[in-house]
Amino acid sequence: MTKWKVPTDQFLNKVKVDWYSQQQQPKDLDYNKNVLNEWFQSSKLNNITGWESMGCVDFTMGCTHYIESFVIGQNGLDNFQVLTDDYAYYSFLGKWGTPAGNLKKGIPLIVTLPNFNWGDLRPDWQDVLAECESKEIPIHIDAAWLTLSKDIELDLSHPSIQSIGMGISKYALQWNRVGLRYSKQRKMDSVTIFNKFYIHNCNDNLYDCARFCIERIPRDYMWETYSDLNLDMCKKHNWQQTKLIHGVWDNNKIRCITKELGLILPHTK
Amino acid sequence: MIKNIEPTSELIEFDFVLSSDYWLNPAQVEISIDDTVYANTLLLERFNRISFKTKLDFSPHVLKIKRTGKTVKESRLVNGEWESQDARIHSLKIDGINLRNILWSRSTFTPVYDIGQSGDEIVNGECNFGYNGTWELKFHSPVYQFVVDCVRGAK
Repeated sequence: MTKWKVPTDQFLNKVKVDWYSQQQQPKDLDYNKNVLNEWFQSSKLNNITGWESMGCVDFTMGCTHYIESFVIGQNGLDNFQVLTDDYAYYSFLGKWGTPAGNLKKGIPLIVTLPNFNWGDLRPDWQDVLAECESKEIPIHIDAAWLTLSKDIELDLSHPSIQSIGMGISKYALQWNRVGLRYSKQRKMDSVTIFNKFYIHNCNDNLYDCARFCIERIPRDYMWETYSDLNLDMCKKHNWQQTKLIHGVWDNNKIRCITKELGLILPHTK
Repeated sequence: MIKNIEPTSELIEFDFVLSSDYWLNPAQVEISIDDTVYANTLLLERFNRISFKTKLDFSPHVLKIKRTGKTVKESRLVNGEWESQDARIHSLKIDGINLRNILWSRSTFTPVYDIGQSGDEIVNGECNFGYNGTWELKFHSPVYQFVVDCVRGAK
């Protein structure tokens, strides 16, 4: 199994340096949220539709927070399911994958899309969607890798899709990790508490920083900047492109090429 | 940017566990929200699970349990101990949240007394229905906001 390394470059590094070196002006919560919301929706290289169906938009502290909040909201590990070949985090919780076709009726499913095993949506995604629709299984999508993707098609208005979590961390922003949860209906869980319970605003500093960064980083920055390099490397090494900028097929095995793309800075090695 | 359209309603699951005790006939309960009946059943088991899902508009609602079936014939003295017909809310989860203290502090029970019986007209927080009567919980949707407001003491 390849070891995934989040790509970075001098430009992304400079955004971080600028945040720490420049004087900042705080913005209010809604302003920051609108900027993030607009940014996530602004990808021209992916085709994500049905945004209007996701009426509840909440800040998260990244996709791990989105996942943990989801787990808390289900009141126990037995009350949700995951697919095989998904994020190892679930197995750390003692949760093992169910093959598509064997999902349990009515039990919520959390799924990683795009999936790092294929550098794309899961090959069985359309079958999973159909199975979930017929078995009335709500789907929750961890889309942490979406920022590094192109050509991903998702219709969020699909009746089974209930929420999706997106984060900014994959643009070398692991030091911030803010994201948004889009959902059709809020449940009482950690994200809801952070957004709706505390009387005083939470994490203003974190959200200001996230807004500052993405105001400077175009949504499709990685693919727009390194698309040619990715293609050249694939031709040179006889690799096949995936939909992730830093992932390729190498002899039918998925491989992280962050290092080969030169997207590791000395301090991120 | 495509505007995210805020919802105006939600699909909520109500999950009751009602406990029951009887030696002759079981208690009967009718569960309704805003006068729409979702369950009408005899409490035959020691613990009776009743669950249903319903769409709720974002507005105030009243959840009611109408408890019937208790007559003077249901109570008897056996070896100096009273045996009778009882019905209780063991637990109520709304949208996966066990309401516990919220039930005890915010619900009311309006007993229907038999001739010769007397007591409070309305009993606050009573979830043990020794008499026939109607239990009520006023809440509002979205449910997460109701719970938040209760915990904050805002409502």
